[in-house]
Amino acid sequence: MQFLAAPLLFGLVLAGVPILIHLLNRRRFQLVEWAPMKYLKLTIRSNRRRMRIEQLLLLALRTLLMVLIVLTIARPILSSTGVGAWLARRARTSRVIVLDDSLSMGYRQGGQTALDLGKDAAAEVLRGTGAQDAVTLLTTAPASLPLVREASLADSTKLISRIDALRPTDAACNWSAVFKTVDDCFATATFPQKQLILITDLRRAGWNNQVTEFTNRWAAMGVEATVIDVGSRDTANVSLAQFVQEDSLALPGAAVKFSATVRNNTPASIDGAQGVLSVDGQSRPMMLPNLPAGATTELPLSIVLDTPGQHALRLALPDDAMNGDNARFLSVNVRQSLELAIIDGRMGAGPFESAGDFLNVAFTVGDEPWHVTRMGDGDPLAAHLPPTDVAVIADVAVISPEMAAEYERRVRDGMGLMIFAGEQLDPESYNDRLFNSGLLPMKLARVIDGPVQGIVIEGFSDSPLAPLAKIAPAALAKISTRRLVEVESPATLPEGVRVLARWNDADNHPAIIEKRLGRGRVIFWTTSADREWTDWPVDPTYVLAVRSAALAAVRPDGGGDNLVAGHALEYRPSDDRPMLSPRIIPPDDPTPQPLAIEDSALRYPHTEGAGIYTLSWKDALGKEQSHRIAVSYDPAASDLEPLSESRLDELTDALRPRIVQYHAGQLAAGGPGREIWRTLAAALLGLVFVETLLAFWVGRER
Amino acid sequence: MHLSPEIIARITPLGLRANRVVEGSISGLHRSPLHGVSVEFADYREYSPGDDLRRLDWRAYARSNKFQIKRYEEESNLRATLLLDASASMRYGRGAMTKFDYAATLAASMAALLVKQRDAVGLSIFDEQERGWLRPAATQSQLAKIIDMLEKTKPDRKTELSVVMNKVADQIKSRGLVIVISDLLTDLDSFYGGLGRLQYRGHEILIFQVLDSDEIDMPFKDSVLFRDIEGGAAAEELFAEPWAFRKAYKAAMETFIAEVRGRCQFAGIDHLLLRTSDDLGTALSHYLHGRHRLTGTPRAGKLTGAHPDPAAEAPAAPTARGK
Repeated sequence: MQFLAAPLLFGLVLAGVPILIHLLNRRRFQLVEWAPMKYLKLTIRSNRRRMRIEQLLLLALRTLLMVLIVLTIARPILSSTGVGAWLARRARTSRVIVLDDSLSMGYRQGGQTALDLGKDAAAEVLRGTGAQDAVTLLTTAPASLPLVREASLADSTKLISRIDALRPTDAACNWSAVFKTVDDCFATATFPQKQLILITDLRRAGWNNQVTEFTNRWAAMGVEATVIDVGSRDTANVSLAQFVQEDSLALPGAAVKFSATVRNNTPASIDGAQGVLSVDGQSRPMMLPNLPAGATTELPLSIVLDTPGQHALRLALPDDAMNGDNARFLSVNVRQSLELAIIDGRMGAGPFESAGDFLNVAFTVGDEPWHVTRMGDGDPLAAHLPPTDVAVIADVAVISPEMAAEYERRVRDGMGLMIFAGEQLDPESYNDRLFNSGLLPMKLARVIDGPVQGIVIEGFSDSPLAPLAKIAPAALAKISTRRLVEVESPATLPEGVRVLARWNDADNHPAIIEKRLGRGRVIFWTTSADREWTDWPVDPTYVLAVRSAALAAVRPDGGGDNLVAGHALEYRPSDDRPMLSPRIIPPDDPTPQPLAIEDSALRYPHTEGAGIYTLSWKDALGKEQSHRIAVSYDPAASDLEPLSESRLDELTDALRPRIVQYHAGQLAAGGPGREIWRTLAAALLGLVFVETLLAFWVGRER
Repeated sequence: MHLSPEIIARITPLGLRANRVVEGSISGLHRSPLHGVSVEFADYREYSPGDDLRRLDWRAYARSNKFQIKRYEEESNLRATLLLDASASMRYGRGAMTKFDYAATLAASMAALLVKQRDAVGLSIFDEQERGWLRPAATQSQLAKIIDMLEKTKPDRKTELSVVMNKVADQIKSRGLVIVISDLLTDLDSFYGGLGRLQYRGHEILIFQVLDSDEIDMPFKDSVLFRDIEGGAAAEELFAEPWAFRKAYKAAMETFIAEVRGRCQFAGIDHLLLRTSDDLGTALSHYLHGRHRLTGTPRAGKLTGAHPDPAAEAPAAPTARGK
């Protein structure tokens, strides 16, 4: 039992007051020299027992009154286990205990994490559970797998040992999913009397209105609910909120852009901190910029990966009270090369006589492995392209239906497509073949003549032409265009379509238009790729423009190779080759675990721990293959904002759980918990009445 | 001073008559089996049935038309002995008078009455043994001796009535009246055994039981440490809260008093319970009136009114008595 005003318990010495008064009264008497002693002794002897019992009873009552007064004003709190549970237990109970092991439970204060406290609380609850009750214990990650279900605990030691082995996961807690599992447990519970005990740090993250449906149903079933709060309210935390690959494509030897976001939720700024960047296990320190208090800081990174293939990256901040959100993992796929195909509508005999020449130079400048395949529009390959990352159609007169269909399929599958206008372009044909098939972002109207001086890049932060936006406008103002294709630009653009750049003319005609189609992207240039219509190909910005656009059109790699903890891992190889003896090696366990193939994919649900998960299998030839998936902590779980009691009441509605504050080693009730001073006060009043009656009875003449 | 003129004035007209036949040289006030010896004429008194007709004074009859008997100095041969309890228990009293004071006043009053009616009165003061003895005499100086003895007596020591009864029985040679004045807080069996011996010798016994109201009612409101008044240096003490057993105590005392009364009644002994809070004169006069009614003896004095015709009144049948 706890007391809200424990110092007042010193008043228990007042329980000795009635005894003291009784003893003092025996010192206050009158002395009488008495003659008929014989009759006095006779009377006293025959009444002695009765008188002694009455006196003792009165004394006991008065002592108890003093004790009750002191206990009442000390505001006792009945614990939810031990005596409280005994009092609450009227019948055999099916008890469901939910232990939150999400990321935020790893917050450490006073040498203990919230999960440590939660495990202690769970152990206390289990020790207080008798063998007559049925216990179901489940953690929040994953929610669907109870540790025990409807078990009768003759000896709770084993289960407590399993609980002791639990560690905080890197996943967030989805309370609606947890409550679904709890609801299933209650539906199949052994006993009609049900009890729910949630052991959690009561953070806001993970709670939503979807839980109310469950709580109201449980309230109607008469479920008794208790929330044991093991969280600390005074928190200070630095987290690595994001670590992402900015460039959609990583090529060997090329600097790949990444960005990291650091959130400093502490009251002090952090200067001179050092992080650690690991690439494929090789770590190197990294100085962090000044991290102002309460602010979010962006940290750009540029990393060169020399070899093609998968690379595992890890960025970590220095340790703090909650280390789970200090590190993030990335799986980066470095391609062998970038495959581009240029379909030239007019192959010239001499250099720079066709659009393809200018494009080829732009794509192949530098050391980066951009592999270009050129072909004329009459080339059979044009309709059946080899595996290509980006196809570029330049000044092609007519697109065949087969070609249009093939390109549409490939773009939907992830290929990038850039279309340049030219002298041979037939707007009607393009509209018929490409616009109607969904490839063209806008319907072509007509070819119009300029001149137009300058191009304006639209300010989208994720624009493929974002590098151009960083160039001084004066440089872009030099681009001159004599002829362009006018497009029909509706007032409201369809979804997936946007204008990336406009000509600097009176009508601001769209210059470069993008359309997302399926997993791919189409970028339409309203001018030619050669000097026929524009001088842009000889402007230094031309190379940057076409390269940036081509890179943006490439389907990003590794989207499925980077997951959030707690989300099921699913890997489907890019080809349909068989996978034999698939296995997975989790980051915290070097022992390979077998996997089953479901629907041509490998699935693994237990991604609660952050790190690199390695899938391995044998191909048809028996050769060992592998693939790495990076799992990072769920940023939602890093939010330590507490869930207010009023909000909890709102979410749990009719259930009205009792909230118990847990302090190391013992459970205490706070707020509207199990204060029993009212009960004691009622007992006190009753005792006063009884004492009055008894005193009157004892004091009457007999 | 234990002698109260007011009390004497109230009881003297009533007189104290012996109910039993007593021995004496003169038959007069008290019936005697012996005939009288010639003694000096004292005065006349009215004829009572049973008086010796030879003592009838015809000349006085001629003068007054009333039958009158000549009385002589030693006509009254009542020899009364007062036995006064002077044990420590008689020391109790919270009011104006202790039990001993009350008892001594009673003894003095009775002595004065007896001396006044020329009866012989003696005194024995006792506690656990006899402390003082005055042979019965009818002289005025006897009264003074009695009063002096009473004044000098301080109640002390335990009560042992039976021992005294036996001694007094040896000391009183002729039949007479024995008046015991005590609280009777003693072993009743041995006490009544001693009384029986006195009765066997033909003595008439009166018992005046004197108790304080506190001893009967237990009026104390606070806690009390009761100390045995007769315990001396090693007196027993008892701490008690009287309200818790008052009724039971009063019942016990009533039982005690009833036992005394019953045993007296059975033995043919007159018993009067006197509380120290009672007015002694009133209590005594009521008692003496009662005795007169019982014996049929005409009463004299202010309380009586018209004297009944002794010829018309037959002596009352004696109440059942036994030794």
